[in-house]
Amino acid sequence: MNIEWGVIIAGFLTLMMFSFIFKDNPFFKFGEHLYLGIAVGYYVNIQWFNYMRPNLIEKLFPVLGPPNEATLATPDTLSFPDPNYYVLIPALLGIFIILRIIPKFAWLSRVSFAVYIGGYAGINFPMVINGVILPQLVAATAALVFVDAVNKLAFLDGINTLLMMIGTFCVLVYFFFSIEHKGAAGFLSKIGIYVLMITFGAAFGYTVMARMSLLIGRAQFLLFEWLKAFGLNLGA
Amino acid sequence: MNRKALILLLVILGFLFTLTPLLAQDPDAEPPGDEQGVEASGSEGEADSGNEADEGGALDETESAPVDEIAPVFDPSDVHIPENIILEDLPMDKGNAVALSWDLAPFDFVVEKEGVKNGEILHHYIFLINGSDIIEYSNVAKAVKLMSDSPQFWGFDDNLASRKWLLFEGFEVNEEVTLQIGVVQPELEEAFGAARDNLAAINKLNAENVNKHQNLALEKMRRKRPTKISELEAEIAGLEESIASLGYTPEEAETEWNDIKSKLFYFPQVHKTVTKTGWFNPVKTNNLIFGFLFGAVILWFISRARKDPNLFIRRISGLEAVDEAIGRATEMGKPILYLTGMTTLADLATLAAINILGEVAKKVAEYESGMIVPCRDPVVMTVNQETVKEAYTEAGRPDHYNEDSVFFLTEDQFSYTASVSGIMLRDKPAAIFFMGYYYAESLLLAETGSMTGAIQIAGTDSLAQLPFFITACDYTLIGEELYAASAYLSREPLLLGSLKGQDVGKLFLMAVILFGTLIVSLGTWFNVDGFDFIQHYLTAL
Amino acid sequence: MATFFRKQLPILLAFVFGMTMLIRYYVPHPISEQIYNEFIKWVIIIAGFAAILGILSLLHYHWNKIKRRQPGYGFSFVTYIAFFTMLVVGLISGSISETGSPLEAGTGFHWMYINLMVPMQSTMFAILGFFVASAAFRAFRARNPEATLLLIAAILVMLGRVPLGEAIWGSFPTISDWILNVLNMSGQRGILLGVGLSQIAMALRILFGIERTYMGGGD
Repeated sequence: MNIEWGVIIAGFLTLMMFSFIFKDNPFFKFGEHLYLGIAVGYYVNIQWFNYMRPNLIEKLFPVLGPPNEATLATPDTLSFPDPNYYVLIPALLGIFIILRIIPKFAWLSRVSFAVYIGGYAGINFPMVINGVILPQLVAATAALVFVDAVNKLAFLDGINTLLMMIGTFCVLVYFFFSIEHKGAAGFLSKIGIYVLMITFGAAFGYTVMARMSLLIGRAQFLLFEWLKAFGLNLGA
Repeated sequence: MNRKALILLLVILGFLFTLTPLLAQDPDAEPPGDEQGVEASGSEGEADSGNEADEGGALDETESAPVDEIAPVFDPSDVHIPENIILEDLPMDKGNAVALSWDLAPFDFVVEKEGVKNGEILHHYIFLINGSDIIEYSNVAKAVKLMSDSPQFWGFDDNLASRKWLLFEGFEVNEEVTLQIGVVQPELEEAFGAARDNLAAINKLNAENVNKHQNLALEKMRRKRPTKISELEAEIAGLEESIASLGYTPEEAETEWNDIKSKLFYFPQVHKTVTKTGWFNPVKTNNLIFGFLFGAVILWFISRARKDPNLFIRRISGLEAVDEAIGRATEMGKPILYLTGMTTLADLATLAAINILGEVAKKVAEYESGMIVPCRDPVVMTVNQETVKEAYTEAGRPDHYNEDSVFFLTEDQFSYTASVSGIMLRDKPAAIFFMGYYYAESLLLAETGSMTGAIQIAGTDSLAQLPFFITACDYTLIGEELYAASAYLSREPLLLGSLKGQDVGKLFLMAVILFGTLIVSLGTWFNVDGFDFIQHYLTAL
Repeated sequence: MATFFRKQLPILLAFVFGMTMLIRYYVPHPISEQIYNEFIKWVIIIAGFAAILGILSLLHYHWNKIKRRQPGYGFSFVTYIAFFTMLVVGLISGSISETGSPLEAGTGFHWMYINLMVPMQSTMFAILGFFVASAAFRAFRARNPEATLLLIAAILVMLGRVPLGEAIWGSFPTISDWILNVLNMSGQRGILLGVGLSQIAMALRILFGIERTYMGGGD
């Protein structure tokens, strides 16, 4: 019989990690530390093979990378792209970060941070307007329709639209920082908190099912696949 | 009440909840998600076969009715060509696409294959690009849209609702593009398909062959493994055999294809345009205006705060607790655990978390308690180290700073979660801070933390995770409060000024919503067109 | 001069890079996309170098545990062994694989990924199923009006989304949809707009050098 060692190990590791539910124990500690080592080893390899090699090393030494596309006429000759020395600039910024370990040059890492963080600030600025503010405003400016000859439920739709507007306003009032939450502002922000709590409750209820199905998926692995590796076939 | 028993009960209940749909319902009964969005109008729906069931039905019909009974001879006058066809550069793009548009008509290009529907003969249209490339769509109906559905290109105009359009991509900037519309005559349909497929088949095999040759050359150059070389050689031999077994050369396939292309029926009109690009996308004007407006308001309030630094800020209870938490840690002689979220520096929430880290670290340095900051991203780790170190220096305790307190764990989401949970259970921090952006692991972290009895303060703008922090943490900073926190803790006038500017921004947004709703509603109530301009401006100006 | 490089240069660079990335958003010309792609590559390379520091810090953290014989230091050996095994197997797998990726099916790295990493990953994820129950328990103990509201909304939405709920009372799905589409939506909108404004303000402060905690505090 062909023993599926992979599945057997996977099953034991699954049980080790599950043991965390009851309390911290040596099995979980072992699993946790193993997982950490494996995950970091995985990360280093992915960083190297998927990111650093193609984007840096092969740009500097194209002969290590993929050749130019061959033609049908001469499929056996290899030619490589020209080296791209511009990648030395980000490489230098990367080296600046490493130089943090030498106190005298530690400040150089700030240059790299500035490029990274500044660039992303510039990317985020219009993206937030485009992705969050404007779409939300479009959705929020819906017509209040109370009377509709065709659709009798229109009155309720109108009420709902109004409720949404009030809800959003109260939440925004809750987020006002420069005024004290007293009087009218206090009242509105109190409603804002209630709206927020309902929002969170709804999100909670919405997620519970998805989390449960994950658990079921893992239980199915143990019951059907893992036990099968020991010759116990429960079907499915 | 026994807590573990209750949890077990809840898990069983959860299982029942989740399993019931499987037992009670046909799993296929789910309604199709976004299928409906594809069809823009009734007439299009008729000609289109949107879902698979329809397609199958249409196929059966054609099969059961012999084709030659209905379409014996091709007659150009049977072909429906829509009116007012325009080929133009796709506006606001990077100059690689053109758009073909035409008037909405009951029967038009929205036909996948020559076939019969409602007693009308529909034709297999093709588009000849630059006199040589033939573009067919596997499902034209999905590619065709109403122009009014894409305001990001066409803006808003009443006429757009009666025009359809198709996109053709892959051109250079400033390239002259010609397009001719044609029809595959029913009698040529089979030969057309064969020629196209033959060419594709030999091209595919040849490409594979070239690829293998390259691999072989690389292998010979780099690693020179004899087994691999013979393996590749065998593969090449196999490929060449299958190319030979096709029974034609690439040139022959090309000639056959060109031949059939020249026999197709083309409409005389040749549509021409030139691809263009530009330096400003006018559709994004609304974005620019909002950006300028918010920018100006916030910068104005910041500059005002320089002159008048005494700005009021309301109480944020989660932050009032920071001192208490650090104080408790000092009393107990236990460290505090601080997480800056699961995202990189590309996410502004991480920066907000780092700002708060700076303030917290200052207090930790003053109280002389310990700190653990495990990180998920190495760049975030280095910035955190810099921030904490600087905070210790500012607090006058640079010698107390321990470089090992800020460290990297792993970027794997759940390995990170497991390791941080381990730290919580073993190092028993007195206070735990979850700041920044989180994913599903939030619940694991916050629950584990609360089991250890630590004071927990969370702050995130992740909508999906806020409920879990709220239930499991003592204090939670919700959304904007996360960003306001560093201003609150540091009382830095410039940051407070920015907060004030944000409040004015919120007031402005409320006004937009209020007046926008009012205007749109007025338009609906009095049945006046054009009052929805406000939504148009917000979508694409 | 030295202070210029230490203080002003980073702020200047943040401004220049930020503004370039900001302006390019409005530019349809293909060069705009090139700039963006180039920046992303820079970030990848910077992160790659930072990863070296990251790994060193992790190894150092566990080395300290071993050196100081802290309780459970034996497990740090597990991490060390697992890390170096995965590292070496990956480097070998990557250099003998055809595509140049260590994750190619059939390699040792792929085997370790599928049979060690993935099961632990999915188990940690699956534990959420238990924890969601314990979080619900926590919510049950709610004694203030806010938490009670949260609990009621959660139960109503949950009941509306499973057939069991519908079997008890036919209107549960309607109520659940109403909570999700009206109340939940309005709350989300409020949060999103607020967060959006904060992010705009923060991006602006970074661009103009007002926000510089990331450069190690103020002046």
